[in-house]
Amino acid sequence: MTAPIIRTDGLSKLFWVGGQQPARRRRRRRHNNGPSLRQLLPMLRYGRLAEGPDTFWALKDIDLEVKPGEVLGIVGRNGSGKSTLLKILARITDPTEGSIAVGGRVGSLLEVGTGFHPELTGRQNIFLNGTILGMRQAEIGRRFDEIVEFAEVAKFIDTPVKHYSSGMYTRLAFAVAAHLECEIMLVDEVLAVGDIHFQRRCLGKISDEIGSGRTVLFVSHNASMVLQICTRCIWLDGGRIVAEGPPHAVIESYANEGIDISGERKWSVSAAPAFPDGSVRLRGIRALDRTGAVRSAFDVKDAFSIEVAFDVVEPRHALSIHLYFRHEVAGKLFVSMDNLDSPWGRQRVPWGSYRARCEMPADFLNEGMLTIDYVICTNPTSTENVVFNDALVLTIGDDMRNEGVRGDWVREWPASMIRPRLKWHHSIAAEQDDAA
Amino acid sequence: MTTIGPGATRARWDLGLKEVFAYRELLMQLLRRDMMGMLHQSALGFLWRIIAPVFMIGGYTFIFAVLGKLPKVEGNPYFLTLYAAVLPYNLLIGTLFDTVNSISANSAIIKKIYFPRLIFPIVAVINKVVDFLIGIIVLVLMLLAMGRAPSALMVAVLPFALWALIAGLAAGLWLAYLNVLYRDISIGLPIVTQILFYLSPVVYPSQFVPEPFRTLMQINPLVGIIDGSRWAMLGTTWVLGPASLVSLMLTLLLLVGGFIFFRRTERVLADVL
Repeated sequence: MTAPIIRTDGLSKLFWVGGQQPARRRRRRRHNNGPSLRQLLPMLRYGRLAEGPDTFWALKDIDLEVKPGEVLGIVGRNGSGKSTLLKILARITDPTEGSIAVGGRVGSLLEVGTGFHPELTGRQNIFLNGTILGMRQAEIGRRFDEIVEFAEVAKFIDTPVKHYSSGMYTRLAFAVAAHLECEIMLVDEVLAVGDIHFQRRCLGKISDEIGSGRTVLFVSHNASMVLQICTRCIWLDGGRIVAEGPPHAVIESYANEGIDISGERKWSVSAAPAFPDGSVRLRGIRALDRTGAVRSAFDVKDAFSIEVAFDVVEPRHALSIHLYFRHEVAGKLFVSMDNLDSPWGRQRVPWGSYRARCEMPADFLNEGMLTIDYVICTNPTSTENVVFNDALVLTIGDDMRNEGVRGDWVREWPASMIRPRLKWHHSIAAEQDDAA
Repeated sequence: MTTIGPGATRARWDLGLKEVFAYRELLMQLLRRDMMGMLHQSALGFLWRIIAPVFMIGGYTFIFAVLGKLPKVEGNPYFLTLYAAVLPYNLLIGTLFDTVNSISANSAIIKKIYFPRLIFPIVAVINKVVDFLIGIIVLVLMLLAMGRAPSALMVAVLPFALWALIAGLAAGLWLAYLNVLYRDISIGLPIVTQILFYLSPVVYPSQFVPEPFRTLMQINPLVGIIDGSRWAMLGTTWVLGPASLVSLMLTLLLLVGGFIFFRRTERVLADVL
């Protein structure tokens, strides 16, 4: 067991939130929400905020250990304490109770471009910003060319940054921060800036840093990013750690919060989603296992089927059934249409109640939460349609038994959207090609 | 392993000056930013540091010497008497204002990055020292132009300049973080300094003030600073009494208290920014 590089011990942080007291107790209305002088004095005297009606615990009793080289994702809703935790680690604010032990230089990327001065040139700002972030002049000088190259601003390096486009500005700012030499890096949502192309490069850069053995704490709302780069994940809610573990498991339970997992949904005639002209209405959708039982949880090794039910009230249209499969974390997975197997094709579907079953093969999906949108539209163009989002929510698990695609592999399957069984062909090359 | 605990557990006397020294490169960069920023944004750049006081002196000279017909004091023309006071006055008030504003002006950085916050007041102080030194050079040039050789006594202005610096910094350290919480401070401060301006012998020499007010006035550190500077720079008579010593002691006490208060508030009020 390696010693942790970060260890927090009962870490708690009390914050001031103004204006929580009822109005009658604030008869002398002040127009700021800060503490009044009477509240301020004890704060200054004891060096901490006292618990009261105007305070709340942003973090409470956080015990956390991070090992060197770990990439810890931190997820949670707004106000759950994620940023506060990073701020305490970055020493921007002190904990109210508890302590943290940190075994290395901490670089914080809580915001890009902190302290940039619009009048100074790119070159000057690299030095200014780098120094603010805690780099030595010599260090910046050594990595200067790398920074400029990464930011792609070589041509404008001696132009005041106020003339930069917002993209250039952001790139430069990120480039400086990304080249910080430190053992521990705190990253807070900064990747939410810039275009897709640049975001990808940032991600690549961070991945490189991870490869170089750096410890990273990464706060993000972007679940797929957390899945891609983190080795472990914690979920904060109300200032407490509510889940901790492998990223996909934590992200999944985080994403699941407030969502009903259900293997079946039915609509009565009066409540059924229907075509605007009322000719077709959805009646139900369910997930069935091989024996025909309704289930909401399947294993990656299970084949199962999605059965939909609908009524044609008036035989007016040719119909096409679509199922949109979404992975809660990764987004859209794929869409399946019944076109090839529909008995009616481009003919009008006659009056009646129908069922249609879509088969999902075993050894195809990967772990995660699968959400299914149910759509029926006119065929071949969707002139009329009815869409019901999140009609089914299923979980796909992996019991880790050595069957299916997994084979002998015993560790976590790498995070990805699907886990299809693909055929491999092996052979012994007759002779090694010496020319190569 | 570095351990970070609640701010209250830190020693009261730990001013963190060692840490400030460790961050000296940052200090230089911030200083450069403030100076270069001013240079870049204005056509006249550095000249403003001379032009602003010149116009101020011109205005007051016109009012008091030309219109008010104030006499020469100990052989010095009025504008010199005034200039010798304006230099340390500006040093003190400038340091005070810049220190007070340094925290609120840099709150964006303070909220995102850690480093010793004392750096901001120190940058403000150094910036004002530069202004002061430029002012001294201008004074020497003026004296030379008037055919007067600057005396060796001029070096004696340094302790008074230091006193001005300390006084401005001390008051600033007390108010810097409170200014973030209560904007009343940045609104009220110009009014207070305006009153101080007239309660100090800036536009008039101390000799004009009758006793016992003259002794009483010396509790105000500006009186000692200005009279001392005039003595050093213009060679006027030494007018400071024991009351000025009391004033100096009070200034030093204010400074020590200011440092401790600043360190305290920086931890407590960081969250209120």
